[in-house]
Amino acid sequence: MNVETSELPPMNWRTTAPQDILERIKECKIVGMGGAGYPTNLKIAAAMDAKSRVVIANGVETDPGVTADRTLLAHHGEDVLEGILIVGRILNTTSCHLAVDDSDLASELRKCGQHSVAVTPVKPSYQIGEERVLIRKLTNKHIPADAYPAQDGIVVLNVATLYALCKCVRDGIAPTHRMVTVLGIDEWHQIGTTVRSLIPDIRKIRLGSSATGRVAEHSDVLEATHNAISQDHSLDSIACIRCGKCTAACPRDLPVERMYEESTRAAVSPASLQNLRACNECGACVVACPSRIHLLDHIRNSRSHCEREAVREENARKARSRHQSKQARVRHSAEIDRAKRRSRMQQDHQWQ
Amino acid sequence: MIEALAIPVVVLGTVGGLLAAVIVTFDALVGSKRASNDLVVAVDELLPQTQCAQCGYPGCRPYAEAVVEGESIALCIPGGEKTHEALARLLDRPLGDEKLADPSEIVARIQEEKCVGCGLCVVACPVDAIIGAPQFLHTILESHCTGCELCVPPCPVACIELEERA
Repeated sequence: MNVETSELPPMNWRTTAPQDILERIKECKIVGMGGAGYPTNLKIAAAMDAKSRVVIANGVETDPGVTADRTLLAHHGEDVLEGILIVGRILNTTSCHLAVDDSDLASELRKCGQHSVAVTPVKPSYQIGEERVLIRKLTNKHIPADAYPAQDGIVVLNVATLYALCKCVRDGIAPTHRMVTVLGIDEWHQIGTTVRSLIPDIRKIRLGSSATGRVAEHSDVLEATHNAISQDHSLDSIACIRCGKCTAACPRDLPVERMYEESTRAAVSPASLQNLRACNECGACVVACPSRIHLLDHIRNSRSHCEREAVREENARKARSRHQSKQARVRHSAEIDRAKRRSRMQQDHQWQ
Repeated sequence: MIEALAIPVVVLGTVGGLLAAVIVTFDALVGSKRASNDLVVAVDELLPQTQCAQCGYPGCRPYAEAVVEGESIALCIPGGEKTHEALARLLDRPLGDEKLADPSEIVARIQEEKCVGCGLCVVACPVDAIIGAPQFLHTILESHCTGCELCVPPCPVACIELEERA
């Protein structure tokens, strides 16, 4: 069920100028549907000036129980491939990759006849959500953590983004729906649907996967970046048994167990603030935890707590310096007043 | 021979001893002052810098000085129990029985329809958070306001209200 209304004229992208295609993408407000929601036209534009340009479609599903991207590829693989070619045309490159996590799906997609797109099966692992890992697997290029891949001409886009991009460029249809895994079933749902209209009992629900999603609130709506609505397993969590599996699972080698312990005591040291900032919220620790503790919730909470504290300290520092400068100002003007009064008194004295 | 040695030893020894005594007393005087000054800065760092004077001192720094001199550490109301504990830890003093309430972050707001532009609140504000020209509407910069409530009493038309920080 894909209810769409055509608003813009269809476009033959093979003969259209890249700037016009980009303008169309901007007009249709295509954003990264993998989770970040970054405007796609800006990402592509940032890569246009690079020396060598590469398009990578990320179809690797890393969240547990989420199959929306796979279903999209199985049913609309041709549209996704065309989306890759459109981005390739804008960037004027033939180096196009599509990473999927299933070799059967890869051979199916190869049959679609888009030979210029290299379909590569990639073993799903937690790091793939981190686009730098995928780039290294496919192109052997290393992107440092403080640089963006688009600066090096590498554009990584989620397959749902590319599907929406293809629809908007080729058919002139702006995205109104997206494929969502709702409690294990892949369906098209309109973006902006209230979550409680999809699932009446909202208390045990996470927006996103059960590992990386956040707890749904009453007023939440389905956004373009939500690929799933999942069960919340953390409600029946039991005590931490200190097995250390979360620490072992962390792809960034963070001491998750200690971070969790500190978050429960609400005492975060400066060193663990560094760790909290380094976390990329992949959710590997959540999946690893045998006590079903949602470690990511705790990490997010203590990070926001720390950031609030930092803001408060910064404000206190500024208030102190404003207070000091005000006092200096008041003292200064009082001195001037006193000097004036003294000189006036002296003048009066002379007249007498 | 021994006398020839004894004179310089005694003279140099006395001079050295006197100099050492001078240096030790000087260092004790200046050093203790510097140490207490460092302590005042450390206490001041822990205070919330609202400059509200609810402790009875005209600002956070004067209260910090008084605390180092021996004043009670349980007077800072905007800091609440957290500041109380932090001060107890820093100065190694007992916490006492009564606990301070958790503070709520408040900001002052001028009701625009009532303000007459007298500027008395500007004078009262310790952190330069209120701006406005004479005889014109004044306003409070929410990001600068520390919620000290010092602007409330001087206002002749009672147009300043306090609300929870959003």
